Amino acid sequence: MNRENAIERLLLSRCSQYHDDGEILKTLEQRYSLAGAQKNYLVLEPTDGGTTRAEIEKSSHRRSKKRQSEFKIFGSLQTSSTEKARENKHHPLKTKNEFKRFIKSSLALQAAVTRKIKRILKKNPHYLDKVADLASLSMCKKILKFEDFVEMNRLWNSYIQEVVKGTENMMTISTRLSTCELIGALIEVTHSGCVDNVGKQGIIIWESQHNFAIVSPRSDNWKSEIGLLKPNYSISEMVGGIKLINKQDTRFKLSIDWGSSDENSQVIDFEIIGDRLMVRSIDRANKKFKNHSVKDIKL
Amino acid sequence: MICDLNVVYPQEDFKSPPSGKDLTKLKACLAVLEQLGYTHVALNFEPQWSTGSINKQIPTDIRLVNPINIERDFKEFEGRLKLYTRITLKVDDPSQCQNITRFQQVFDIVAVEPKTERALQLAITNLEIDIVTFDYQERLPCYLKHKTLCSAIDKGIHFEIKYSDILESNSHSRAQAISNIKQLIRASRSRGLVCSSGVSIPDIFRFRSSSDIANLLELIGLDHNRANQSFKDWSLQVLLSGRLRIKSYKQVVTVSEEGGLVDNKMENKDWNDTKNGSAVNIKMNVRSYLKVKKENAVDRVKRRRTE
Repeated sequence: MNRENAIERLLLSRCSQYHDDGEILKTLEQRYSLAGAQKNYLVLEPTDGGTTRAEIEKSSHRRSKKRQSEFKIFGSLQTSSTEKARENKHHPLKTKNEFKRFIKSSLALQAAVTRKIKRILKKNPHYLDKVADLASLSMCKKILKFEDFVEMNRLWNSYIQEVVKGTENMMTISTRLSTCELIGALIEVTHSGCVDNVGKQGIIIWESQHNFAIVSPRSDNWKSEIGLLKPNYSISEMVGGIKLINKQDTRFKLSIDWGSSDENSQVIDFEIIGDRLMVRSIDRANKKFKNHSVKDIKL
Repeated sequence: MICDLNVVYPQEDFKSPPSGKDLTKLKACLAVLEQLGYTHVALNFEPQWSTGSINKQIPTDIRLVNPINIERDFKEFEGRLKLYTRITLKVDDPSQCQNITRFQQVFDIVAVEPKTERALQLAITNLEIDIVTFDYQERLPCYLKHKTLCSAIDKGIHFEIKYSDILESNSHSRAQAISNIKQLIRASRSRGLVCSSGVSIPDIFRFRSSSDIANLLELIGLDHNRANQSFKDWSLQVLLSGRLRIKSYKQVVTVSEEGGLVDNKMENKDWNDTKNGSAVNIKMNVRSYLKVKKENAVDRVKRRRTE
């Protein structure tokens, strides 16, 4: 078999222009010769058009000019404002801003629903008696459901299995954990300066420099692990949805499966000290962490 | 939570283990401490040489570096006292301190006793240690300056006061100890002080309760609240930084234990445990940290789906 120009031949064989090996070989032989059919120039053919960047700029320029002529009085002001508008950080279509708005609106929605349920319960204390799951109520339709993110957690679990594979040293595992991605992990707040946050758990959907955004399950947290008595959930716990948790002064627990996933499988519990993780997850991958004075960490 | 971070372990070098008699005496000491209300106790191993000659003495096998075997020798104190290990190194030549990193993964607390001014300076600026201590019965190595001590305290290094030195029967060395401690309190501006017993085996009756010593320190010039803090908050901070050095990666991700961050319940403390081959640091082995999995929220969701 001819092993010369293997890659080129493979590429050309995919091309509809050539029907058999002979033609391809011929082309390849001729490709740098000046006399052959194959010429060493690049063919540029006219396209059907579309709008080019220059045209877009031109049109926008025209539009702004028109606007300028309309408000000639504010001429000088106008130019500066259009210049600003070009690099507008707060443009509503920026993904970041859209996400921000989404979080804000869903937090507001959750608060509104909680307030509404409280108001109803004042009039009718048995309103929630027959409702097993608040997600079945029509007003809770738009609130994020924990169940939708379980798949994300499964993906994260398999990812973390790969990350920690091949070592039995605790220090190596925690080193790797400090640089790995946390979106998708199931975490629980074990200690916090904000007492309300203690015991909240959920799957991380976003990590910023100062916050974790988690989706928490409905009426399901540490209270349901106590057993015996029927747990008494607060209304915001029943509503669930997105919770923003500040990293400062907070410690998070996350557990990693170890070994086979049998029925009596084992886990290792790790604790993340939020004060020391105050970096964006992008920067965290390359950050060199250092030991500091432990004044700010509470026992 | 009252701490005593300095109970001298009756052993002076790496090779000769303490006799059974010494160990029983030490256990009696620990029982007394328990009666006095202490909860966290650190056993202090003090090799008697200064840095120059110690380099040759350190065993290469990591299992022999820490002679204190809490799992084997002090089993009966489990659940009563929380025991930690500490090493105090006497430093006179600052250039010979590379070996300190070897101790950091093995001992819970690393302390340094500087013998010269340069050693003190080095201990504060370069070394990653928890405690700086002095021999209070002698003259201090140098005049303690506000600036050096306060920079150390900001870094998280604490200074130790040994109360057994104040209770010394020899009046000359007692006077020396009191003046030294006064100087330390002045220079540190009453911050970042850790008070511990420093009692070695022969003078076993020197143990006092913490409130007793707090009154004594008030007499010397530390105010009441801070005298109490030196047994409680500040001592715990020393323990915390020491523990985090062992069980966390740069204080970011640590192992979760029921008793909080200073707990060492799950850690494998038996240095003779050679299940997993040769010179590995058994404190770092995953096996001792495994837990049986409990059902979590995700599992409950999955179960509800299958039902």
